[in-house]
Amino acid sequence: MNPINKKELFGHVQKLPALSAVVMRLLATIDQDEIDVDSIARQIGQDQVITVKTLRLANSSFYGMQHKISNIGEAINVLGFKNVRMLVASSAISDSFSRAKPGHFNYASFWQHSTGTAICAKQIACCVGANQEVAFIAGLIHDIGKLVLVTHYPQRFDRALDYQIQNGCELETAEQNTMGMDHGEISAAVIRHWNFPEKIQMAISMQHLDDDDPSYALSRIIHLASAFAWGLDFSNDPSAVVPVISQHVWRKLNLDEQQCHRIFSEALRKFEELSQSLVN
Amino acid sequence: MTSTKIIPIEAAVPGMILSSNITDRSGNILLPGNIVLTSAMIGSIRRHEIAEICVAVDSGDDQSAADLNQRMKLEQKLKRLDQLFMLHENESANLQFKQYLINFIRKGQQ
Repeated sequence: MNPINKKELFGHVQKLPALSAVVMRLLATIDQDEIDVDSIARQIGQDQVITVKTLRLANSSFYGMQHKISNIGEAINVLGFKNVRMLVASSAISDSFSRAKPGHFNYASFWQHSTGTAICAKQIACCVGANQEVAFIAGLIHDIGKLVLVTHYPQRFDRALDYQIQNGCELETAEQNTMGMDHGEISAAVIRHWNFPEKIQMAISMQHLDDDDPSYALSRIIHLASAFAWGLDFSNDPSAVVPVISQHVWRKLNLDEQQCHRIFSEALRKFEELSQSLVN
Repeated sequence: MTSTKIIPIEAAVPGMILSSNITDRSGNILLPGNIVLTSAMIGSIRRHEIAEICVAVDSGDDQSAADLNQRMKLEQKLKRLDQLFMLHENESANLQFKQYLINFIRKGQQ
């Protein structure tokens, strides 16, 4: 094994581009009840890239609106602040994802899996009565550590992929055995660096899946959503495998077949347009 | 137009639609009618030493072609699922998730 120097790696994380001030401000409101919506709407409106992307999402079939939404204020009125917050955060995340786009990595496949996980996470959250918007954002960002790995350690990441194929194991195991760490740890570091709310930081860390503590509820949702996204084959990656689903998580979320079928069909229905709208 | 036809089990292929229940010697239902046969099901029918089965056939050529196409798509999807679940197919949550997906795919084909 040739372990990655953690200090060096976290140095790379620190140098990642920061999210814009309005996105940071918006994310900070996730746990707040009283929000100055007007001032946030004005601030979002000043960021052209985010505004255009958010409106494209708001007008996509994801919401099935009858008429066109033309500004952020209208989007908040029609879709509600929580939905707009989710769309703005998703636009900002996808924007920074595409800026980090490394040449040799199957970026499309990575992005498709992230989007699929986000949609499934939102649907699962809806079934179990959790916060749907937070689940969506956490799903979208759960694998971001992979991007840091392929950007700064492309050869070692390739070796981990080879190891995975040769040993028929999961990527996390391959990463641990070849680099001494896995992309989950790095995802958590990126999310800390971007000052995401504590809730989302905890959701990404998958080390507490068997913990009954309610504060890990979101973590369980993301674990299952990611497995659903692999099973529904969103990544379009021939080497994709469905990872082991924790029995504890399965029992705890306790979705019946009918609920699962609803999640599958909603996810399939919304996937195509959403991934297009987010990536462009 | 759909009609039914009795075929020897040797001629059965995955994707064919069973037109009536298959029962064992005691009269218990092994497989319900109107189900799309998989290779595992055909194996199970053979193990019960059932020589002939009743399947649905289409009289219209176009319809048969469309059905065959659909059945092939179904087979492809099920094969892809086998690949996706290959590594951890014996984990109980994975097993249940896979079954939900199989049922979901079949439902979409009807």
